[in-house]
Amino acid sequence: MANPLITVGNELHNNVVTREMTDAEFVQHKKLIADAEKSLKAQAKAKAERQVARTALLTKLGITEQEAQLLLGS
Amino acid sequence: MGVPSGYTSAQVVQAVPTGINSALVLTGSATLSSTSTNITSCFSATYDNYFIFMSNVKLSASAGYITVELLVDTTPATTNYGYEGIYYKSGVNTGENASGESAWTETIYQNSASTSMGFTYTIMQPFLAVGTNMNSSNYIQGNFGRTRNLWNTNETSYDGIKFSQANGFASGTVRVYGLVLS
Repeated sequence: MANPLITVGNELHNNVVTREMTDAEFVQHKKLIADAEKSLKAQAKAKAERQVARTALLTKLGITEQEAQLLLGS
Repeated sequence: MGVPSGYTSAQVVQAVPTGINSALVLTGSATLSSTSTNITSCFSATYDNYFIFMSNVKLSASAGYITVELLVDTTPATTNYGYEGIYYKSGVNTGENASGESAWTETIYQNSASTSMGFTYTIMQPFLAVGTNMNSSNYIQGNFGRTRNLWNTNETSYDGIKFSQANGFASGTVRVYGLVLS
């Protein structure tokens, strides 16, 4: 299977080339995507944990999400 | 009120008068269609700070993310990226942050393949051999908006920027403008 395409250059300089990634570039690209997905999963996990803590706090305070938003101005 | 110096009419100004220069100068342009796009030689010693506008961006898949990397020629920096930011979705504001990342990652949700999106970035001092900062402000489909303050702490002079998308870009235009120093 062919490697993904990469475009290199600057249209202002009329030196744009679109070609397949080299094997080394493709290895780097796969690492980039893996790192990005790992980062996004970590962010999603952190957000989910914050939401659980938020819900628990709202229950403790006896107010709704909408009332909390009014209180905090969000 | 008199006619300002440099103007020929006090009515409608139809052109930039002689001696007055534009504050923005186009330094880079690219069309997004590949999986990755390196915009080379768009940062230089001529300007410290830049605006980047991405317009008519569509992904090949309905949801995904864009990764942004700083370049030295065509070699991307792969360390020391991070950000602090806030996003708003469905009536809730949420803070977010990350550090020690290998790239800046911007999530995108595309409800319809026929709808395009636009993004703006302000990038500060990429060419100076000091840390680089960037601000992003993006509307994302689905009542989702985000503002981030991003940074790369490498004290490296970067002369280009790279945009990548796991499934590839279906379309998009990137324009980089330098802000004149005076």
